[in-house]
Amino acid sequence: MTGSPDDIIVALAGQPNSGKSTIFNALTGARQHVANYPGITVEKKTGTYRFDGRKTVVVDLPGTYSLTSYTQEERVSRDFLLHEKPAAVVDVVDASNLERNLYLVFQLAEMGIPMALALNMMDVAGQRGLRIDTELLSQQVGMPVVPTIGNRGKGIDDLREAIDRISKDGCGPQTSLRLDYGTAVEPVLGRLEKRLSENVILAARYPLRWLALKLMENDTEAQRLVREHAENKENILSSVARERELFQSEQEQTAEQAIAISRYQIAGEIVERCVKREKEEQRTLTDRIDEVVCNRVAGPIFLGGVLFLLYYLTMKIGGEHIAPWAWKYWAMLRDVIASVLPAEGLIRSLLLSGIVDGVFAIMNYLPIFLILFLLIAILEDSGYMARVAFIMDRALRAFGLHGQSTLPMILGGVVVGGCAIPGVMATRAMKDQKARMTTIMIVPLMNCMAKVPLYVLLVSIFFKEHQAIMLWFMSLITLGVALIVANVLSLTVLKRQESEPFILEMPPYHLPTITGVIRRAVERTWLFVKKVITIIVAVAIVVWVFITFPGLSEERNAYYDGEVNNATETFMKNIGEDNPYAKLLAGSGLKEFGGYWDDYKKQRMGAKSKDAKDALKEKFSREDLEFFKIVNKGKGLDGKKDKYAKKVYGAYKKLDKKLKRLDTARRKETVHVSFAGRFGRFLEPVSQWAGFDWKTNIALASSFAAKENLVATLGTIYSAGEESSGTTLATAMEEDTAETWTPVHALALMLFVALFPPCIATLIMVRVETGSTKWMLFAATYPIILGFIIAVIVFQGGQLLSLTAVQVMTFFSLFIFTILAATYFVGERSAVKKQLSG
Amino acid sequence: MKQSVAVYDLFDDKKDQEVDAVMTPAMPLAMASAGERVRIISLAGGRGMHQRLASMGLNVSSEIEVIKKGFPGPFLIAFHDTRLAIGAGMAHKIMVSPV
Repeated sequence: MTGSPDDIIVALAGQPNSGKSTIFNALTGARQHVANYPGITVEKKTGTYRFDGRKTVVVDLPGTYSLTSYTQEERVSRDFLLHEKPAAVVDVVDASNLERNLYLVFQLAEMGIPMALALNMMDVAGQRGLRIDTELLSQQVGMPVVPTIGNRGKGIDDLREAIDRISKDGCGPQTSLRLDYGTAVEPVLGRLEKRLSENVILAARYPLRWLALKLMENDTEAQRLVREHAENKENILSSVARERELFQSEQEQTAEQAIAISRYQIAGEIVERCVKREKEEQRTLTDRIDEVVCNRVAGPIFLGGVLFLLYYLTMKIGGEHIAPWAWKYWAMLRDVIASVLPAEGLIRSLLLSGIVDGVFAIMNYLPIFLILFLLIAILEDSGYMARVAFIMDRALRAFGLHGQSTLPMILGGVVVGGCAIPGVMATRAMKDQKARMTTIMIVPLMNCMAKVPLYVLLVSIFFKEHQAIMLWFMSLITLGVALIVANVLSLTVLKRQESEPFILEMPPYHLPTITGVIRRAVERTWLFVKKVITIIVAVAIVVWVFITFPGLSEERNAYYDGEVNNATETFMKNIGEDNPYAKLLAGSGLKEFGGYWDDYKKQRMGAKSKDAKDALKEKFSREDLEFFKIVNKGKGLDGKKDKYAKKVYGAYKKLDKKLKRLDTARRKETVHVSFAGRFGRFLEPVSQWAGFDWKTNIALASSFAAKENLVATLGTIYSAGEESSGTTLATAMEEDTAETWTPVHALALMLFVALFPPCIATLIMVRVETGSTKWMLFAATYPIILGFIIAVIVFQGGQLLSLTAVQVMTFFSLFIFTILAATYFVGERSAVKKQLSG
Repeated sequence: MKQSVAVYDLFDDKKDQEVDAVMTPAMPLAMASAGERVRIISLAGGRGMHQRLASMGLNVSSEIEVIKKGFPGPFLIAFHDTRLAIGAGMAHKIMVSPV
């Protein structure tokens, strides 16, 4: 990152909702890079710009209200400032909310880094009738103050100039801000500072007044620094403890309270001097909107509307129009990749069926995600997302969740069609560790887009008359089960996780900017793509091994090879020895022709208009005139008939069919004897309790890699043949299962899949977000047990009482919702009790 | 955690009640009605909570307005130009007196 020695690093700090990201974007433009801080889930954004020929690297620190070591974000920001020693720090301050923002300004200034203020959202402050004397403010805080309007790019040049200036001047007279903490605190700070200065290392590395303040605030990170670097650490720490005790008994308040109060007093005084209020503080537009949007009755209705719109736009517009359009291009891309891969053998099979198909399976959903992320960015930037958390908090809290669990659950697919990966990723914003863990554990129970195809498949076979209602049932039931699970987990295994009261800022509503929204959505999508690709490449190999090896026995392979030879011989016999084409198609010629045939058929299907068809013919005839005559049923371009070519056409058509059938049979058998197949049969004695035969077991096992595999594997097993589109698979399954399967079988399978363990990609995401392999394993195993129990209950219950599936579903929903209601009341009572006793 | 609560919660519950009876008409924020302006007399919670509230701008002697009462759901309060949602549990532990 650091190129020439002239490059400087500038840290961008600011409280949440101060418009920091708009300033960051305006400063750095498109030259940005997103990564994670090592080992934790806080995003690290960096960007660069040039000013006066000098490259400036801007590091966007996470938005924090202060710089204690209370949250991960705060620790990250502080560590960066302490250890990376940026040349300057810019604090983005919400001009309409100066007093509170000054709190962070003071804390940053105490760290002794050259500093400038970006007084942002000047327009909003203006609308509220606030006139800020920036000159005076600059004097008062002892640093340059640059008025900016981030989303319109105003004041950015001035800010760059100020950064340049302060980074050159160093810690000169620019940052002369030194808060006076009053007669009670100052002497103590002086004494501590003196004691700390005895340590050469500490004095060289850290601003001592800052360290003294932090120690008085009983800051654990500051204590750690002392323990690490000071020789007389015990001495220092014990004298800090003494000073704190003394202070508390004399002043009747803790030192950190006194310090916080001083900061606010000084902030208040500065605001009084520098800010003139021309209008009375009044109810803003935001307040008026909130009256409706956060209203007890209107709020949830409005939220329902917003969610409906979200689904409608992503699933209808995105899923039905944009995604299919993009699929064409994905398919083309896949073909290009397929064509450059080695023609046959294990490597091709691994690369293509394992990695490429695995990645594309999820890439297919990319357009939908992009739209979903765009809409969510709009909700976030407008400020509505905080209201969602506000409205949902009470209801979710009774289940051990949090208002902020709403977004991850939406992303995971509360109704239908989400993905657990972004859902799990979205829990990052949650501060409440316990609720966050609970949310991570239940997000995979939502109905992700990959589960939906199986629902649709089974519902279309077994519940023809009740399709819509069954899908609706599924989403209600999964939500119900997820909430019950959340409650149970938070009362049991997650009991010891740290919980936290609900505090959330409700930012004023903003009109989101187009660039801001697009940037955020693209960024998230890209992050998602990177994750998916790296994860899938890793796991696809393992899964591929399981469904490919140990492979067919030599005997069976010989059998299939023999069949292929027989078919070829028959073909040769059919076209006759005197056929002039026979020579052309002998030996490797046949294979060559096979490729030509497949290409032609495929492209012919894609060509709709007559012109396109003609162009296609022209192209293929130029490639190989002889081959073309065959595939064109014996006709050349000029329309002249060639009866030999026609004969070959008919014979090859038969051969092609036969070869493809053999190929499918061979693949099917490979799966059967593979490790996955053995596993499926091994489990059959147990799984039959839930009505799953070994074929279903294989499909379930393979779906562990990615749920998309479920329908695909069923496709191979039920030999829907080459063109395994949804309808043919449905027919194949219908025929195959007509004797043995009842709708109750299907229902049990659907419920099991709904609760089935998350795909491996999600599990790895869980590992990343929880930082714990233990929790990842837990997330993998509990759904199997739970899902299996439910599937067994449904299946056995349905069989014993000989109910129809719809009856079973009704009973089961009633059962779930009774438990849900019970857990709600239990959970709510315990939540209230805990809050009150605290 | 328990210990730090004891240390940082400067208004110990029992002591607090005695003081209330004689001096100021303090009540939990949860009891204030919508639209009422109140001043914070004491904040509750552990050390982390304290600092968090302080950094968001809520401190002893801050003047706040209750915009929306909880039950069900969190409280919505306003001070200066900030709007905060505060869980009902927290609202029970922030002591205020009417202005």
